[in-house]
Amino acid sequence: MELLSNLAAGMGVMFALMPLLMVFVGVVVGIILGTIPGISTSMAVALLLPFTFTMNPINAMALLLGCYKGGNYSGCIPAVTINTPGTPSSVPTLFDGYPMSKSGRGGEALGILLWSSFVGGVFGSVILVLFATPMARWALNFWSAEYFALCVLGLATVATLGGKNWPKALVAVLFGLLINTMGTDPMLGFPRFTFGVVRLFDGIHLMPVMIGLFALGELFHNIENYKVTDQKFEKHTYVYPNMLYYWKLKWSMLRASVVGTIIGILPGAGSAIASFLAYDFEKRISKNSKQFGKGAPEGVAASGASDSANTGGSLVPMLALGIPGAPTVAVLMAALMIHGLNPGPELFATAPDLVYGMFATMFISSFFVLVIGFLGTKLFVRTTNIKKPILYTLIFLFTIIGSYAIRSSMLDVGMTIGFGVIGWLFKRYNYPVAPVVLGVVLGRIMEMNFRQAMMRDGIESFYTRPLTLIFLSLAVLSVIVPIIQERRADKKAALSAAAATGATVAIETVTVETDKEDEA
Amino acid sequence: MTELFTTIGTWFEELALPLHFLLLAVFLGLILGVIQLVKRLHPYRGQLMVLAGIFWVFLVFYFITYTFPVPRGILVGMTPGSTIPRLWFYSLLPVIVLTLIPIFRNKEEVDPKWGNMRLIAIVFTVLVISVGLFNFIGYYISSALFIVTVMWILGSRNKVELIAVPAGWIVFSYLVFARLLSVRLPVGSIIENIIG
Repeated sequence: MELLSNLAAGMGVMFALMPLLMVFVGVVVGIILGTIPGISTSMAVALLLPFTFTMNPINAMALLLGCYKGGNYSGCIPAVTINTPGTPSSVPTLFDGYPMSKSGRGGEALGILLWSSFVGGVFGSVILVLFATPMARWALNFWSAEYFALCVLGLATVATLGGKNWPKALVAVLFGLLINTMGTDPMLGFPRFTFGVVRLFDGIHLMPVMIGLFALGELFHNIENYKVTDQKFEKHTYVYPNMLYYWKLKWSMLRASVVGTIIGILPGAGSAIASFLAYDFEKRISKNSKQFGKGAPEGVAASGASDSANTGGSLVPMLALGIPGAPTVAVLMAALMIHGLNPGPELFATAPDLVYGMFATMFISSFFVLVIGFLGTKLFVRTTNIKKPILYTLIFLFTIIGSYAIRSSMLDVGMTIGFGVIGWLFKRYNYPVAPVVLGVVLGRIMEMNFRQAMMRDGIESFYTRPLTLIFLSLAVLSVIVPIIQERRADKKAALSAAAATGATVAIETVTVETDKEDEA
Repeated sequence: MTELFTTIGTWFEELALPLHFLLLAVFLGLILGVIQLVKRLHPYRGQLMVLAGIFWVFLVFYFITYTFPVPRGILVGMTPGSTIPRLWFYSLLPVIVLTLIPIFRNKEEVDPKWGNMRLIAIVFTVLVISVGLFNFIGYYISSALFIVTVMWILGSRNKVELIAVPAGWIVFSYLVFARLLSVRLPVGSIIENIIG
C-alpha cells in the first residue's frame, strides 16, 4: 500500500509539463541515437549529460532515463534492419530479426521489438518499485565497513563478470579507483596527486572520464576501422502486423522479462548477458526451436523483452545500494552525483520526490517508447541513412562542447581527449572501459567508508562484523570462481583435443590397415 | 627504505605535468625495447604496453604517497591520506600477475591488426589543433573549420553538406549552449581584438 502511495507521489511529481517534456525528449533522442550503429546507450546518455547541468535533478533524470529507455529499445532496430547490432545486448535480436527482415518480414520483427520492449519495460519497472525500497531500508543499517565491503563486492562482480577478460577488467577497476584519489583529501584536506595544477584540487571530474572513455574512445575505434567508400547504411521499408499477432507471443515476452529483470538486479551482469540468456532459455523451451536463428518471432520477442526489462532491474542496486549494475547506470549515477546527490539508500530519505519520480519515469518512458516507436520507427530507421562523415564529425564536437560546458575549462577538454585515447586503447586491447567509470564513481564512497571504518574499529571492523565478512568473502569468491572455471574449461578443451587427436590417429590407423588390405 | 621512497616521491611530486608524460614515454620505450628482445611477446606488444603504462602511473602515485602529511596532534586518530592509494597499488600487483599469466602462456588473444592508423592520426591532429585554436580564433570558427576538415578527410565531397553542416552546428551550439545553457564559449583573443 505504501509502495502504491509512493508511486502515486512519484506520478504527481512527474505529471507536470517540464518533466513529461523531458521524458519525451529523452525517449526521442535515445531512440534516434540508439538507432545509429556505433552509438551505445551509455554513449547517448553521456552525450546528453551536459544538457542537464542547468536543470533540476528531477528534470535531468527524466531526460536521462528517457534516453536510457529509448536507446535500449532502438539499439535493436539496426540489428533487424541492417544486420548491425546498435548495442551488445541487441546481438541476439540480430539472430532472428535480420533473417525476418531479409525474408520481407521486417515490419513484424520491428513490431515485436516494440511490444516486447514495452512489456519488458513495464515488468522491470514493477520489480524496481517492489524491491528498491525494502532493499534500501535494509541497506540503511549498514556500517562503514559493510558499505566498503559491499562496494568491493560490487566492483569485483562487475569486473569478473566481464568474462574471459576479467583480469583486465580488474586492472581497469583499479585504474578508475586510483585516478579517483586525485584532488583534495576528503578527510584531511591536503592536495593529492595534483602536480601543481589548481584545477585538479577538485579532483578528476566525472564528465571528461565518461565522455572520453565512452564516446570519444568508441569514435576513435570507429575511425580506425573506417573505410572512405563505406559512407552509408542500407535502406528498407516496413509494415507492422495487427495486434493479435503480438498476443501470441505474450508468454515469450513475459518469460524473457523475468530473466532480464533478475539478471539486471545482479550488479555487473549487464543487459547483454540477460539478452543472451533469455534468448537461449526461449530457444530451449520453444516448440518452434528449430526456427531459431532463421527468423523465429519468439527469438526477437525474448531478446527485446529481456533487454528492456533489464533497465528496471539494473536500477535496483543503484537506488537501493548505490552500486551501478550496468555501464549506463554508472553514467546515471554520475549524473546524480553531479547534481549533488548521493545515490544509495540515503537518497530515499534526502530526495524521496526524485526517487519516486524516477520510478514513475520508468513507467512513463515505457509508454512513450511504445507510442513514439509505433508512430516514428519508420522515420527513425532513416537515421541509419545519415552519412558517417557527418555523424562522426558531429559526435566529436558534442564530446568537446559537452566536456567544456561543465566548468568552462579547457583542462576538462584536454582530459576528455586524453581519456578518449585511453578508451580507444582499452577497447583495442580488450580492456573494458565500464569498470574504469565504476571505479571513479565508487572510489570516493569506498575511501570515505574505509577510512571511517578504520578510525572506528581498526582493521578488525572488516572481519568481526558478519555482513562485512560475507560481502568480502563473496567478492573474493567472485574473483576465484572465474579462475577455477577457466582452468576447468582449459582442461576440458585439452581433453577433447586429445580425444580428437586420438580419434584421428585411430581413423588414420584403420585407413592405413584398410589400404594395406586393399593392396593385398 | 622509507626515506628513499620519500626522496623519490618528492622528486616525482615536484616534476611538472608535461615532464611526467615524457617520463612515461621513456619508460614505455624501455618496455618496448625489452619486448623486442623476447620474440614470443611480440604478438602481445600493445597489451603489454597498456599494462606497463598503467603500472607506471600506479608506481608514480605510490611513491608520491610517501610525501603526504601524517596526521598529528588532534588528527592523530585519523586514517592517513596515503592508505587508499597504497591499497589500490598493492591490489594491482597480483592483478598484473594474473593478467600476465595468459600472455606468457601464449593463451591470451593476440593484439588486433592495426586499422586505418593514418586516418586516426590525421583526425586526432586536426582535433588537437582545433581545440588549441579555441583561445585564438574562438570556438565557432575553430569548430566550423574542424567540421569541414574532418568531413573532407572522411570522404565527404558534397559542397552543400560541407557548408550546411558547419553553419547548422554554429547556429545549434550558439542557441543551445550559449543562449539556453549559458555556457561561455571561447570567443578567441584574435576575434576579441578585432571586435574590440
